[in-house]
Amino acid sequence: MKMGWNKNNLFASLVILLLSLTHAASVVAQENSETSVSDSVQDLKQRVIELNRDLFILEEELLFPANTQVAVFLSMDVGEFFQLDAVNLKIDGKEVSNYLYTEKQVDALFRGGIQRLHIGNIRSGEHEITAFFTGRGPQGRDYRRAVSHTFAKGGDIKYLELQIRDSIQLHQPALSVKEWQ
Amino acid sequence: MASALRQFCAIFCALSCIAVASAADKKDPPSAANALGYGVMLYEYFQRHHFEALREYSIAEKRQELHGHGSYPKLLEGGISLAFGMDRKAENIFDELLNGSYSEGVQNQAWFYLGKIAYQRSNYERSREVLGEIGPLLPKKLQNEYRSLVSQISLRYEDFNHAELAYERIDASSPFKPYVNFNIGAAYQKRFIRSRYANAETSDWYPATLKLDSAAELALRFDRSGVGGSDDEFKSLADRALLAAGYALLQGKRYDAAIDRFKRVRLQGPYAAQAMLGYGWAEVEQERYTEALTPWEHLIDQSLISPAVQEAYVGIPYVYEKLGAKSKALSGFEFAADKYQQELRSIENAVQSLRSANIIDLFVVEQDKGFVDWVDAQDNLVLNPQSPYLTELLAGHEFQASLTDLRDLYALQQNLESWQRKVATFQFALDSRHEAREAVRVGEKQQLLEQIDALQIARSHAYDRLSLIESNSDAIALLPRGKQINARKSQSLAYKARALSIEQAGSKPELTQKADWAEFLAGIALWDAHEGYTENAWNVRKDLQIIDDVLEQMAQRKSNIEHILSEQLDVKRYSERIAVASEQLDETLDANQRGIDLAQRALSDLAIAKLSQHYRSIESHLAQTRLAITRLYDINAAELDSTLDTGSINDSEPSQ
Repeated sequence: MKMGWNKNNLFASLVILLLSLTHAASVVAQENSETSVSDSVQDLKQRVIELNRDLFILEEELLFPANTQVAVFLSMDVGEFFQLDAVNLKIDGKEVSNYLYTEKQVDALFRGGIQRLHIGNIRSGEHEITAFFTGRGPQGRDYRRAVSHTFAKGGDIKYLELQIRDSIQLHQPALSVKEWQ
Repeated sequence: MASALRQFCAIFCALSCIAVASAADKKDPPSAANALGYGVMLYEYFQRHHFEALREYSIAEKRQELHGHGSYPKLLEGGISLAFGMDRKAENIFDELLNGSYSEGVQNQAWFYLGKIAYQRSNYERSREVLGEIGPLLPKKLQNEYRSLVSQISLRYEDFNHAELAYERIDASSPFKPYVNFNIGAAYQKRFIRSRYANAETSDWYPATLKLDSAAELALRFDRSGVGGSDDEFKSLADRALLAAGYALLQGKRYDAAIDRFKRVRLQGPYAAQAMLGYGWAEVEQERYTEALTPWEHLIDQSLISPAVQEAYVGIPYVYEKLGAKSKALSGFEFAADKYQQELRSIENAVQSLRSANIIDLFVVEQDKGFVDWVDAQDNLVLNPQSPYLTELLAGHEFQASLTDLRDLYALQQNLESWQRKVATFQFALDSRHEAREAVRVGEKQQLLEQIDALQIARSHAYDRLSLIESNSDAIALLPRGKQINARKSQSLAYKARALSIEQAGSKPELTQKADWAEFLAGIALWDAHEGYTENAWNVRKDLQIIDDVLEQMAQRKSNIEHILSEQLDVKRYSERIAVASEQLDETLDANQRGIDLAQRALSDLAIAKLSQHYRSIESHLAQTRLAITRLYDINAAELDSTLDTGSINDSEPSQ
């Protein structure tokens, strides 16, 4: 046949092109390259996680030594009677944290996560912590309540946990401060 | 497929949820660190901050704060690692943990996600191996996707029976069904093409057509039922299946049936150009050349970047030649040659920009600079293909996985740079703390010690005095100062009066009466003093107790200060740790940069290879076109010679 065009080749190349739309073309060299990059990325991720861990610990030891460190956490159990919007935290009357929550953060708390709300330094002796909670209370009404707690700071890290619990009897959120030993 | 997948992949990972729920059932009350550290990790994890969750896990593990939760935190670490694209680590954890310690359901889910990621990474052998571990107890929501994966993997190994079996077991209502059907049909067609190249042609085009027709029908059914939402997902799949079916029929020499499929591809869809090209070839194969011109002439109005349009450019003059219109054919070939040369230059420019540009900036449309969730299909990157030649490459798992790796590397770089800035301030913080401690050492401690000493001396004096008063029963000494002075004066006066009355008893007898009176008054004062003795003594003891309390507080403070000072702030050790951290940061940043370069190059090579493939294809068109031009010039020259010889002109151009 006197023609300048090979139809069979043309069909084949077109069909291969078509099929590769579905089965993303994979060449051996490409797979090898991808695998090696992926391996080195995974190694790097592990290395960075470990380095972050060491740096985090070093930073805490340097900036918040145990004999002055106070760490305040926030947890929520159930949360049916309270939709948290914000927490304002004061230690000895001085504001140390003012936190606004996203829906994702509230959900994480609702599912059992605990937030590290504040970490700071205080002198040894007696102190007072006050947390103001704002959000939506029962029946979706605006809700604002505070909880106070006096604690003694000694030579060890002081862990305090602000707890939001549901009080079934009162149909209200129950707020408390737990002092961990 | 993305939206369909979303329904099934919507967020991972029952595995970790089981771990969390089970851990919550633990009875032993955890310590602060155990409860809080684990909770903080969960807080990050539930927000899908996988990197932060893994960092918290690592901190808690190093501080040995994960006791009391069994192996659940480890299982959770495996799940999070998987979502963070660290499937090798996840696999090691699962291998270690999932040996009878957990229910079959949990184990199967772990294998499923491992197999899925291995598939996404194009590690098909590993994916097949891992998916082979899955037993019958797999949660229902994962079953269809699992069967779809099994079918895909089987096709990779040309195990059509296994692929069909997996397909049959997918629920009829599952959106995976038409995709798997399509893939099986496409695999038959690929095998058919390979058989032609090997000169051992099979009849695989036939089962390919059946599967592809069925895929198109199913896809349209899903589209009508609204499963695909508003994004035409299933309409596009139907188009793609009809197009593939059309080419399968064309290869099986079922031309009219092929035309039927091509005509059913939507004109406004992404596969219209390829359908029109196929339509034209089906007409050419039946020597209906004029009919072939209709779709092809429509095609050349479109952009040349479509491979179908490129072929139409050479197809049209080919048809003219077949129709005997040599002049039109010649000008058509020459026009096509010009266009091909333009397109080759355009690809050369694209390759050049790929070599020099940042791949992420070039392809990723929306970047939030954060880490990517490897398990959640919603996190697929939105890409700008830059060139239509790269559309299919960018949609593939391999490219997406590599690009996600690259994006993660940039996120790691940001993290490391942020620590680098912080570490620079650590030495300053250390020096400040050291100075503050020195100030306490020389100042506050000394002052406190002096205060304590003075207070202790005062207390000691007070106790001594009280003891003396008690031993002498000196009630007057406990009276308030004014009363005490008066009582002492009364006692002194009585004493002096009595002495005087005795001395002058003869001359002044009235003095005896005055002395009696003075003694009476002194007696009253003493009586009053004894009357209040118990209360006064108690008050003094109370005051002494207050002093003791203050002393105790000061002693505690002294102890705290001494404790602080006794804990030597090892400036040298901290300085060394800061220096080591700084060095590690620099090294890791360098390694990360090398990783970025490597990933950039790999992606760039993939894209360039794809462009080169198209470049070669156009080069081939150009070479064929030039041959045709030469041949037509030769024919014209021969015809001209013949005309000159005979003295007559015969124009054989047909009317169009």
